[in-house]
Amino acid sequence: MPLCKLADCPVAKDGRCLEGRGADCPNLVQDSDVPEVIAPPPTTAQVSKPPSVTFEPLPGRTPLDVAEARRFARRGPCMVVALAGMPECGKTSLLARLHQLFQAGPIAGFDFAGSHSLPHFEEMNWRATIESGESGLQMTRSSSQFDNSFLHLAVRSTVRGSRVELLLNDIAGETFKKAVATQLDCEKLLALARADHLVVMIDGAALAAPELRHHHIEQVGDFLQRVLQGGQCGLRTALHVVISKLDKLRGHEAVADGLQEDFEVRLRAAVGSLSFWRIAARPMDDSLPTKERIGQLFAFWAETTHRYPTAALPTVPRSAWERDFCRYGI
Amino acid sequence: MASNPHHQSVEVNASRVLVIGLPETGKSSFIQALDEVLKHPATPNDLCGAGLAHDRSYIQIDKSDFLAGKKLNRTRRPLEDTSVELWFEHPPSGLRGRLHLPDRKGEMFRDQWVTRQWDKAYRENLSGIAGALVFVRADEKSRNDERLGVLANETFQSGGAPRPWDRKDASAQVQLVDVLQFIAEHGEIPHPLRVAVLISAWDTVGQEGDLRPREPVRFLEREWALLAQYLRANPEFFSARIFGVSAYGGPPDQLGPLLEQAPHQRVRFVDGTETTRDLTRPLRWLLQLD
Repeated sequence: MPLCKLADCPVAKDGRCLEGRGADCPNLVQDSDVPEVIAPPPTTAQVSKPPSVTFEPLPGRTPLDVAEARRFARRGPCMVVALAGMPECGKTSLLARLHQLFQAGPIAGFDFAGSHSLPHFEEMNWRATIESGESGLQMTRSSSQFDNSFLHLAVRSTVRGSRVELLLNDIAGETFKKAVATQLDCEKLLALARADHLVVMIDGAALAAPELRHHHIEQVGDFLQRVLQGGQCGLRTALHVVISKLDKLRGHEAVADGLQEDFEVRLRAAVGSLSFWRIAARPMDDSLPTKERIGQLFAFWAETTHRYPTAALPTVPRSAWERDFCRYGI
Repeated sequence: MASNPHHQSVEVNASRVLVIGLPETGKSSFIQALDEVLKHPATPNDLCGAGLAHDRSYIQIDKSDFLAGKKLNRTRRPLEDTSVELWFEHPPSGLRGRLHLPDRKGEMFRDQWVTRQWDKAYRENLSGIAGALVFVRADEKSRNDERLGVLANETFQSGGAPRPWDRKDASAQVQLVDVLQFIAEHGEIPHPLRVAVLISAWDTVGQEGDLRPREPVRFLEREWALLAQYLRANPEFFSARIFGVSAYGGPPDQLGPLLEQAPHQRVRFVDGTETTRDLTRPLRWLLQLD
């Protein structure tokens, strides 16, 4: 219905013009005359109201705790590798090197099949990258906060096609010294009881320095004595003695040879297997990392366990995998 | 016609393909090029257009820039509504359908890596996808450079103070693998999910002095090794094929004489040792039309 400027005109109600002029009446209000109703400005909330979003957490914020590690152990063949050694002996460099190697290709016949710890591997590597802007060689040190945590890595054999989960337990150097000092602290290292592999690292630079050499050798020897006498390791354990920083050891190889002979005599019969490795994960001279040797060490971790008879490994029923950790009271 | 089950209305067959990639990896350019190729199929058997979708407003935003050979302006695109719908027909089978390619911003995938969380709605949408297009760039490095050899012991002049660790600075292939892990392990995707890895900016490969492999499969194996291994080592989750693609046919903003050619003519697609203009090949595979 049209509108009229005259208040008494009934045109808006029944279409009759008060002055009888019909559609030509000058009092009729045209569309353009209708005052524009201006909506109030929208509030900030109306303008930027985001659609309702519900976020769900994804894994990988922190290393796996024991309960999470158990879940991976239930998935199938799972190797637990514990790395221990004095502060700055090269544990983090070794783990970071593995991450770097996988970024360049398969390692020793194993494809990278996944990891729930990628942010941690990347963080380990960060300070050794050009992008970080760090000068000289810097590595993030292991934190005792994660002594009973695990980094996860899954690999698949390019030959056999079998998948293996690896749980890597990086024991901080400060914790290592405490474990040497007291049995109580040593027993707090829960992963050792489940470890298929115990990797004890010795700083090659310390072996080359007479003022450091004897202390480092003794600390490592005492640590192994502790874990063996407490039953945390034994015949079910593959023990690896890794001399790191090979580039710093040059000229002092005889010290490493002597250490190796001594450990052979003292430890061979007490563990499932004893292996010696000399590596350079991040050499400081112009040499390159000992990639092949590190690859062999990794393949050993992925392929070997003394916790089960080798022949029986494929026939272990899935129900038994679920008890992997419980079996050792973890 | 009515008795042939393939001859159904375009409205009936709807397929959703997940488009994955970190920021600026060529996702939007590919979609633009695909739209052009659907309109101008190279051979009668190629996937072709079956009309225009009702709403093409998203794809229209960048259309003029793409056709002019210009780099796309990401800031013009909306943050939320990134839906792209293309209508297609598969001449050999007579199948017609709608293809949904949500062009999600690469920042969304990067945020999943950084914040370790994802949108519940995104996760729920994964259950219905037909496959995934995963984008990486041929002209960007897949990992951070490590200081090795003489660099290891030198003071490196980066032009500033050392930068503290920030997850967003992680290697590109590591971020991408984690995004795929989230999908594989926390999304209810069909198993195995068909994944077409598209190596964009393929026109940068094979230039003088470039020693990188010229076959996409071998290129990924060498340059994006972690991603290649991950896809190969998880056959229960993924079935992957690798392609090279140059959506513009050359570097955007520098096409020069190539601009004389229509966009669908200058596009290049590499499958093994074969180079074609048929950008629909990965989609035919994802939709199991081949």
